[in-house]
Amino acid sequence: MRRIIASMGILLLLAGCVKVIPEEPVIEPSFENYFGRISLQPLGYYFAVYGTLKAGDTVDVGYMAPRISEFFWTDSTNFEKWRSGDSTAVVRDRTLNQSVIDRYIVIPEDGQYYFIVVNWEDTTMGIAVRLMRRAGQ
Amino acid sequence: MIEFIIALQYIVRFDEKASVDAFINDVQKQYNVRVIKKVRNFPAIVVDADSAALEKISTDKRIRYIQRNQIYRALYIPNDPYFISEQWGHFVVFLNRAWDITTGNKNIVIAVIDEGVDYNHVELINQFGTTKGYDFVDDDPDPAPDDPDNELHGTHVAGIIAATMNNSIGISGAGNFTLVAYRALDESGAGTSDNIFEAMLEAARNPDVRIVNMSLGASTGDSLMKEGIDTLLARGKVVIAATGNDGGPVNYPAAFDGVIGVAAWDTTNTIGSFSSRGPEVDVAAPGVRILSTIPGNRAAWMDGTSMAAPLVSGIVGLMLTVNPNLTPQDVADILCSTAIDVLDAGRDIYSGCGLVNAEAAVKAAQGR
Repeated sequence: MRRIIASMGILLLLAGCVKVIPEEPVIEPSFENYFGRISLQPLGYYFAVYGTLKAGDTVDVGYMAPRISEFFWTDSTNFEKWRSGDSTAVVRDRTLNQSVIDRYIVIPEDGQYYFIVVNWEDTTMGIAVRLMRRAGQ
Repeated sequence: MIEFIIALQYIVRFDEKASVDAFINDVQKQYNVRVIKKVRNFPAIVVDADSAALEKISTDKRIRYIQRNQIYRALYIPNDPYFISEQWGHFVVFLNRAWDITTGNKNIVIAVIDEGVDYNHVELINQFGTTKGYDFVDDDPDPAPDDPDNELHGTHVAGIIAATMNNSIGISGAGNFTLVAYRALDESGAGTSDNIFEAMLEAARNPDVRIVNMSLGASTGDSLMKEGIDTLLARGKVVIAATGNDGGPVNYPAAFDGVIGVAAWDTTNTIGSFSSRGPEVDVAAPGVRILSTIPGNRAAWMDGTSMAAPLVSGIVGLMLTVNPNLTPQDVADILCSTAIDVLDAGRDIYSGCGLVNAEAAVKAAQGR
């Protein structure tokens, strides 16, 4: 993995204007709920993805991070765009440099959604994560 | 910040040049929309509207934008420096949201039956009254540890419950309560039935004590211990106990009827592999990688159901703060009904009713 990332780094450097995307996530869960602590690698990211969420469902998202981090959520199409470095990716509730995130997110339409935390620092960071889906009325 | 949407309430921002009164009049009469208020010193109003009305009103040329009316609330995060980086357990059980409702009350007295407690610890010194408790091992009124370098457990448990919050030092407890320490375990971490029973009787006799935390256990119960539990419950004390760390059946006193048995939740989104299991488990709470106080103004990480139980004791302290009339059975019912069903659907032998939810439990206590 590190070798692949190093190669990507050179490629991105040559491309010059492409947004740098951090390393692969430490875990890639698919679940209903998550309550725990995860270790985010340097320039790594964590994402949570549920099965199909329905319009009106609520996802209760929270995390605490000791250092600089970024949070956003997006649908599957835009997640893939973001992951491939496409600057046209549309993300929601993007929050930078916030150590605590605590949100109820109401899902706008049926689909698969990704909830992402990025560690932009060059050291590993432990974060407390809390994610809970509540079915809509 | 935390936000959520109020159904049907919208803010309508209109142009500065428009006449406020004429605009409001048109909104009410022409569009049949109820105006809730004018935003002070700003060209905007708050309205109650359904989507059909919104569609009509949005065609008005005087409107700049319409947005949903949201609620923003202060999210209580204490300034204790290790809270954000280390106290994952407090966060995942929604304690920060419960603290938006209450951070506790010094009238709630929580008894810690355990090893000695360093009541002079900088994080605990303000959480004890003039009477610190009693040492039933040495039969003297000083419940401090005999061997502060090795007798850490009681101070750790006390810190999880009530280490001073928001003092810019170390960690945060689950709330702001008064502690009383009953030393019934010695420096080796062991204690006898008679000493523990005497501590229970003392807690039962103390009219101020509402909650008794027992982060201790044995694989079999005994009659004296049972009598102690029954006495505490008869006096209206909420008894919370660790379920055990051997992965086997639930230990006593947690296994006795009426005691709230607490299992340990791991950092990895599952129950701790060591956590004892059985039908007597009532709820789970974080019990792995828990940072708390130890004697000599220090802090350390510990694992175990011993660390899970005091977090629940603190949450119960918050519940009793908002509703002092709750009985032990009320408390047990609320903890169970509000717990997050994290493992098999319904009650299971690992997490009982599920992971404790401080916010929901405190709200339910308020509403009862």
